[in-house]
This record gives sequence, structure tokens and C-alpha cells, in this order.
Amino acid sequence: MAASAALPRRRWRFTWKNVLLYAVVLAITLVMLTPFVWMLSASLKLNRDVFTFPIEWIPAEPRWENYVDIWTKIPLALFIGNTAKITIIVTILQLLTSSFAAYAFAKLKFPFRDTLFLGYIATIAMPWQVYMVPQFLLMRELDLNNTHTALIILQAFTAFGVFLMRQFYQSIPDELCEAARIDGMNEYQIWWKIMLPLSKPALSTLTIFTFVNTWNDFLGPMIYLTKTELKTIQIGLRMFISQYSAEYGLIMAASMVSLIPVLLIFLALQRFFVEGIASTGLKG
Amino acid sequence: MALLELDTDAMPTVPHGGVSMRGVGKKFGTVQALRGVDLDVAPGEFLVLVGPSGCGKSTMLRLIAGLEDPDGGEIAIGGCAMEGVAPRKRDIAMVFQSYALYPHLTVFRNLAMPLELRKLPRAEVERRVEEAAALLDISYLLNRKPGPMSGGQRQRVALARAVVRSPSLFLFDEPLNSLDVQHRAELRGEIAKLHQRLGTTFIYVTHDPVEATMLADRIAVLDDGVIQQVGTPEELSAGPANAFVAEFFGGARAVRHVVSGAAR
Repeated sequence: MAASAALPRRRWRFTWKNVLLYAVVLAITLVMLTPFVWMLSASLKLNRDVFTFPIEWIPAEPRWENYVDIWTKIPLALFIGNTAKITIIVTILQLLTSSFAAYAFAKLKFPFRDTLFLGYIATIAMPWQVYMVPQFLLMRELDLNNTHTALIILQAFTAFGVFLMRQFYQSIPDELCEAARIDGMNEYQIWWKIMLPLSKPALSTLTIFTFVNTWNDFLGPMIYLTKTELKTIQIGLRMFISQYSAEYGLIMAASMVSLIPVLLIFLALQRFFVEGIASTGLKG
Repeated sequence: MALLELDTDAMPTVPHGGVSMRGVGKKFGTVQALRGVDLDVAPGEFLVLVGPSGCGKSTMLRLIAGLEDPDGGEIAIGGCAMEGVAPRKRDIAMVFQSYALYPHLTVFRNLAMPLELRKLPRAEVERRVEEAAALLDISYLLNRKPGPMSGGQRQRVALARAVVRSPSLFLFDEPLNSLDVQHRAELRGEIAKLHQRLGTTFIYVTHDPVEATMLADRIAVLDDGVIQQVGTPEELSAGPANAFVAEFFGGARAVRHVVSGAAR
């Protein structure tokens, strides 16, 4: 705030370069927003009107009942509760484990540290589809099939999170840790009292990535959760699809509802998110 | 200035914390930073380690602090061998060139942190923080965070954080390097007064022979990981052990002549 108040605001000048730039930005924005607008529009329509062409962007008779029916036709509140439980626990665990491991990789000295880090980071290159079957067999052996615990354990550790946090920790001067060591802190205290409070931008970035990924995860819950009372919202939406028909209006209405937490998290943390992306050297 | 007017009874006045190094060596990869260093620092002495960049002086300080482990040799503080002793158990304080203040904490909390970690009672913590702040003339900064402060203010806070713990040994790693000329002179005076007042052992690293001459009881000159000569500023000036010391202190000697000539 203070910085923006201190800086003189640049005046917009009419040049063809500026006009072209704005036109391109506007076009990209429209392309990005169109599916959301279509989804919002479809969520207020009868099933038979969803795919009519030309698209009726503002329904003549909006069906607000869709937003009531979604709560009664399927146990949506239960699905949202399950999703929230898994997402919140996974996000907290990922923040803790990633920042903890990243601290070790960034600030501690131990044999083969960099080799170990490279090996861990290399796992990012391995698509989940490659090892999801053996992982499923392992979870089944551990008797964790059809439990939220399976999804939580599998997502509690992330190589990407460790990479992101380590990049951020490397920008914090080593002298700060050394001063803390001389002051009397052990490594756990340095991590908790110094590094974590200083890494709000990176933690916010990781929170957004993890929250959005876990909330929107479809394949994981589909593999591990078959009982209705355990399902998350993303697979719960499939209950609107029967053998011969699909309630698209209701699916879109429920999808709109499922978007709200993700939007709230993003809006709450986006200031830190931009800062975090800039300081961790990640490119969007 | 403020230092002399303040009551510093709570600060230790008994000299302690001598340092002894025997055959200490340190290698980083293929670079031999220190080669078989022998050095004794008497309790209460102000010793300055001086030498060009990369000569191993900061490495020496970090070995004494326990931030690095020597490859060979022995280090003792106050007569106790320091092998395997964590920095927090060495009863030392270190002032860094980059200040190393906790940016998310107020000055009060920065100063209180080492005391809180020793689980001192709240009243004792407050008393000692206020005394240290008064000693360094930073009482008015106690509720502020380090971010917006000037370099001079931050280094005063860093000095206060070192003083507040009453350690037996103070280590300074080029603490004035980031400051402008005026603040350097001011803080140099504060450090000298602090040493007179506390009577504790000070080991101070600088690459500036003039600064070394102004502050030190004794100076240890390093080059290429080897101590070239240890002696008082007068001894180094009058009888340099080799060409390197003579050349390194040539400039300093010229400055001293100018200063003493001006004084006469």
C-alpha cells in the first residue's frame, strides 16, 4: 500500500501497441472465462435446454430450484464434508512435511544431501498413472482400501512441495540460521520459530496448489472410495449421471458450489501467491 | 557517549573466555582455508584477525563459534575442549556483517530470544533487554521491526543482542562492512567502549588494517590460511615478520603517522 502510494501512477497512453496488447489480453480473458460463464448459465437451466444452440447465455426462466435440488437428490453436504476433511488434512500435512524436508535440504549439511534431493525431485517426472496400480495394491495390503486414510497418506508427501519450499528457503540468508543456533535454538526450533514465519509467501503458494489439486482430485477418490458415505464431491457428482441420462443442469449447479471454496482460498492467498511465485523462481 | 552514563552493574566485569587453537586446519573441497593454525587469545583480550579476502579469517571465527567443524587440531574456550560442542553450548555471541536479525520479530523480541531460550523469568528477560538496549542507545527502537531501520541501527541491535546474553566470548565477523563511513566510526567507538566496559574476550574479523590497529590489543595477520604474525599494533608496525605483513600494514602505518602527526 505504502509503496504504491509512494510511486507515481503511470499514465495510460494511446498507442497501437497498447491497443493491441489490451485486445490480446481481453481475448485471452474471454477464452478463459467462457467455460465458467457457460457453466453458470447451464446451472440455471433445465436438462433439455443445456445444449441448445445458439447458446442462451441468460436463461429466459432461470431454474434456481437446481441449487435446492442438488442438496436433496444426492448427499452433497456429506460429499462436501468428506472433500473438506481430506483436503484440509492433506494441505496441512503437505505444508508441514514439505517445509520440514525443505529445511533439511536447504540449510543442513549431511552426506549425499544434493544427490538425495535430486533423486527425490526426479520422482516429479514420473506420472502417477505409472505407479498408481502398485500403490493401490500396497494400500489394499495395508487394509486401507475404502478409507480416507489411504488418500491422506498418499498425498501427505510431495516432491513438488519440497522443491518449492527449498527454493524459497535458499533465498533466506544462512546467517539467520547461524545466529539462531548461537542464540540457543536447535534445528527444530529454527524451523518452527524462524523459517516457517518467514515463508508465508511460499506456504501460501503451496496451500493454493495443494488445496486446489486435492479438492479437485477425481482419479484418487475414484480408485480408493467406493462406499457412498466416503465419496468426495468430484466423484459424488457422477451420481447425477444414470445409465440412460445425465442431469447436466444439476451437475453444473453442484460444480458451481464446489468451486466456491477453491475461489475463496485463492482470493484470500493470491497476494502471497504472486509474491511466492516470484520469490521461489517458479514460472506460472 | 550514552554508554558511560548508564548503569551496567548487571553486565559481567570479570574477564573470562580465553581461546586456544592448536594445529587447526580446515578444507572446503579442494581449497585449504586454514593450515595448522596455533593461536592463544587471553581472557579479556581484544584480538583482531586481519587479512585479505579469502585468507581464512572468517573460517577461523566460524570454527571457534562451532558453525564449522575443523578437519584437524583442537579448539578450547575457557580451557574446555570444544570438539562436538554445539554453538549454543559454547557461551559465545556472534555479530554478523549482515546483522542476521530476525526480520519478523520486533527488536525487543530479537533481544529477548536468546534469554527466552534459556528459560529465564519474564521479569529478568525484560530487565536485561532494557539494559542492553540502553547500553547501545536503541531503547526507542524496541517496538519496531528491523526491516525499515538503517544499517547503523540494525548493527546496534545486533550488538545489543550479543550483549544481552552476557557471553564469555564475543565474535565479530566484519560487523562494520555494510555501513557508511560515519556509522562505521561511530560503531567502532561503541565496540571499543563495550570491550572496556565488559572486559570480556573479543575476537574481531576485518580486512581493514586501519580498523584493526584502532581496535586491537593484539592483531593476528592471516594470509593463505596461515597466521603470518601475532602482536600488538606497535609490534607489527615496528617489526613486521615478513614482506606480506609489512606491505599489508604499510597503508595502516601511513594513516597512523598522519593521525598522530595531526594530533601533535
